[in-house]
Amino acid sequence: MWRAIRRVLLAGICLTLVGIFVLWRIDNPRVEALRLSLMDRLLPSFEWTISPLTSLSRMVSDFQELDRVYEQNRELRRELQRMKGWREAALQLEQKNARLRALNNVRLSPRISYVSGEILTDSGSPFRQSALLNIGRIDGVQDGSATVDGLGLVGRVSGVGERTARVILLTDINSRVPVLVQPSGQRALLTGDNTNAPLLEFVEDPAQLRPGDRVVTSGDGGIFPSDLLVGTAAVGPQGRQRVRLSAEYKRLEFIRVLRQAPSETIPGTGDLIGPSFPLDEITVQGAIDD
Amino acid sequence: MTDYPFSPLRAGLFVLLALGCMYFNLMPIQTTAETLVMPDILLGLAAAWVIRRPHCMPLLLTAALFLLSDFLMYRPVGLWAVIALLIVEFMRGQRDVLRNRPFPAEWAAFAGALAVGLIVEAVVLQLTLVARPSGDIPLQVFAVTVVAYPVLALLLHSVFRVRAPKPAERSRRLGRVV
Repeated sequence: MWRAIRRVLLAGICLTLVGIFVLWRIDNPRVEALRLSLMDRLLPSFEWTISPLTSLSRMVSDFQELDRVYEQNRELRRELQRMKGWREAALQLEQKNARLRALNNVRLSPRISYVSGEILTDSGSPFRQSALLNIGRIDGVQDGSATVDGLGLVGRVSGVGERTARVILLTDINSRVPVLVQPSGQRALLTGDNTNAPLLEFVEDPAQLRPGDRVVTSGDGGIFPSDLLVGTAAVGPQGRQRVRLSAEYKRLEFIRVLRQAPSETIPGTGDLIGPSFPLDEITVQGAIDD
Repeated sequence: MTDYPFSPLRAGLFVLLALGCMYFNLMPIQTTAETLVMPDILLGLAAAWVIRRPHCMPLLLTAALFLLSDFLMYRPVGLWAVIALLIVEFMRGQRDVLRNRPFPAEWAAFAGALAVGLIVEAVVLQLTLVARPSGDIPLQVFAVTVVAYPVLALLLHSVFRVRAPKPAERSRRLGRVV
């Protein structure tokens, strides 16, 4: 008797779960919203566990680096020497730039403001590359915003809860970002494929692409601001064009979510400029006849 | 009945351990792609537990925990939950056989069930046209989960004292019944 009830119960649960799966497949946004609200409810309570965890993982990685401290030190000194030269050059360029701007009377685009958040969790699954931030709608995070770490683009906000927001990293298979390759100025699409170096697809002229070219966001589609650094172009093992990302994915901890003021759009084409003409008599006549 | 009866304390311990497993998988330590794949320790824990103390794992509770883990880990909701539940039920059905065999038999049974489950999942996802990254990630999941299983079983046995009734105890009870 008990066994029969149990079997019926098992069948019922399995059917329910399969039903939920079908629902997820059909009405994805609603179930994803449910998922997000669930995480929004549950995960911020784990926030206190993060800082000891990150400090622990950092200690481990620091310990791993301890054995090459001497070598690293020499390397850093050499690099510093080189950087000093570059700094001088940059300062001179900045001054020159400022002077030229003053001459030109250029107005830069309004500065983008940002809000910083800490990573609460990763996706927990090897099939997905995403992260959950501890900032959400109450902090002014919007769906679709770009996120950067100190250096470069990290991903796009996809799903905002009250106190949490989910970021799809550029390495996720669902990530698509329109980019611009400098200096050749070609447009392309950055496509994640679950590897550390996303693919560069739909390049206008692949022959002009050289490894080491800078890749920045193009701002096409109006979702991302333009000219955010993404990384440098590289050639993958199978000869496919890839991008080595600038953002330090190994040590993602704090992430900035950019708050972009919506850019003004120009509606329609311009009208004729000049004194207003009197209406054409024929059309007026036609209107009266009707 | 040769099994220990239901105890709320043990069931509570199971829930706590399951939540701990989910948290372990969610810890933000692997933000890069192509890192080592984490084992599905929730499934390993449930399978190892169900052989030792089947009555401390009510069906509804197990299903709810698997569904929650589906939600939290960005998996297709419900699919892996139903597969994991069926794997656990399979192990529950085999427990009398497996307890009287050495541990490798139990290990092999789990590995077989997991392999079938992963294949079914891949086929269903393929049929429902859910995008998945290409590569051998399911294979890696299989490998690390199977490797993690003895560790989980040992942990349950020695640290949390979740053990199957001893053969001597069973035979005594059996004798009393007879």
